[in-house]
Amino acid sequence: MKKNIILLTITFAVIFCSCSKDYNLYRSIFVQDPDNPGLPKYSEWGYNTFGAYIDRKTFTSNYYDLPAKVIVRQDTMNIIFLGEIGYKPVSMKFSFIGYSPSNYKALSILNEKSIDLKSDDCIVTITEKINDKDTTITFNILEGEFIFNKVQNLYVDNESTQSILSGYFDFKTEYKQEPISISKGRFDVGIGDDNFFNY
Amino acid sequence: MRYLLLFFSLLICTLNMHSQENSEDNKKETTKKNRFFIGIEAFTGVVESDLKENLDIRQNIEPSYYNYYSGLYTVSSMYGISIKPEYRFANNRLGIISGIKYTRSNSNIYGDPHFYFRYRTDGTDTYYAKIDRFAEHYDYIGIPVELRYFAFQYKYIALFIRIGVDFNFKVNSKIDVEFTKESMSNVKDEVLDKIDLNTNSFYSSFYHSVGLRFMKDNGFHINGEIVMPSPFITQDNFAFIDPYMYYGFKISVLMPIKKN
Repeated sequence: MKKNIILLTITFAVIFCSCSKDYNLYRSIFVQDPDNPGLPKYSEWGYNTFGAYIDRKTFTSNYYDLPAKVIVRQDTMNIIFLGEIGYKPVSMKFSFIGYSPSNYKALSILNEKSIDLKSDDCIVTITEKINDKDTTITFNILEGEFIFNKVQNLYVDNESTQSILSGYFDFKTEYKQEPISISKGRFDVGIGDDNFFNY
Repeated sequence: MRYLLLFFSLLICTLNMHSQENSEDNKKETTKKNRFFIGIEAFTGVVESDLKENLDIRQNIEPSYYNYYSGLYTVSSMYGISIKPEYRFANNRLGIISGIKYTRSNSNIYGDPHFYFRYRTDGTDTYYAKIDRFAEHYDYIGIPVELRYFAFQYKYIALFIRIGVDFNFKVNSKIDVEFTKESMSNVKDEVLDKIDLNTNSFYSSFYHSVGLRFMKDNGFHINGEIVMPSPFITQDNFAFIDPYMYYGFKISVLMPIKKN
């Protein structure tokens, strides 16, 4: 009798422990792309993530840094992605000459726009720490494209809040005297008053 | 695997207890020739579910805040009451049960502290509403069909297992939205239009439970039982969630119907 009671108690405990579920759908906005491990899945919700493969390494947004800023100076719009490669902080800047939106709402002109990164109106740089010093390298683009797949003006409770930039980038370049491929790049970032600068 | 474990442990217990049963207790039980009972039963349970993937819900849109901790959570449950006649046979070891039952199932989606729902897209303009809670509930009237097996009994206590299936028809439903800002309630219809509200008007589930019966001298039974994780047979019974199982607790009182 005693053995039976113990056996049943253990069985119930096993069953009920294994059924409990802490339902928390989105702990992180970084939703991993199952087809491209290490990169965020492409989205258009403004999840504030980006990612790309640099050859086989991943360059992605992280949990600590503001993932994107848009800085407009004179006739040039700079989009800066701040993330990491193998835990090392790295930023990548795409400068597009001839675009000068006055505020984040004006970013909607970029909707469905595709930009050839090899053109003279584009400059792509990478900044990383080398020997404890920030070093900026300007890429010599061999070929590539930056696509604003969707730009949305977002209204929350009927108030304009931010613009969501979602799209892809892909290019080949020379880096440290070697040709490399930056592929499967995707971004889904919100740009509002806090991270849009025009001066 | 869990069910196999449960099955085998119950089987072992049953076999053991059969061998240990006091013959006097057995006699006492079998002399009770009440074959018909009528009972009232109350049930409460938890529904385990996934949020439906086609809902236009987004968690957080603040650009400077990587929303690592906050999120959405659902709370879904069922409760009900039923009146169930029972017929016992096989020396009072088996019982066939049916009757009528009322069930209310409900589910709530909460934000932490709120969540964002995309209710309108107009060119490059996208509109979100901040929402504190989505709530839905459904009332059903149904018919259960159950089989109860008394695995062993000792004096006035018996262990039983019960399996059953129920067939329920929706008689009432309500879906509601709580906006963070009351002023947004003017888009309530627009929000609800974005949700597929055509839920199934019929729901059925298979369930099994293990319980203890306490019997009084006058033949009254009081049962307490644990409903094991049990699957839903039908789909689309909720607008916001896809339930995959439920479990809970039942308590019931049975009264013998004596033949003249």
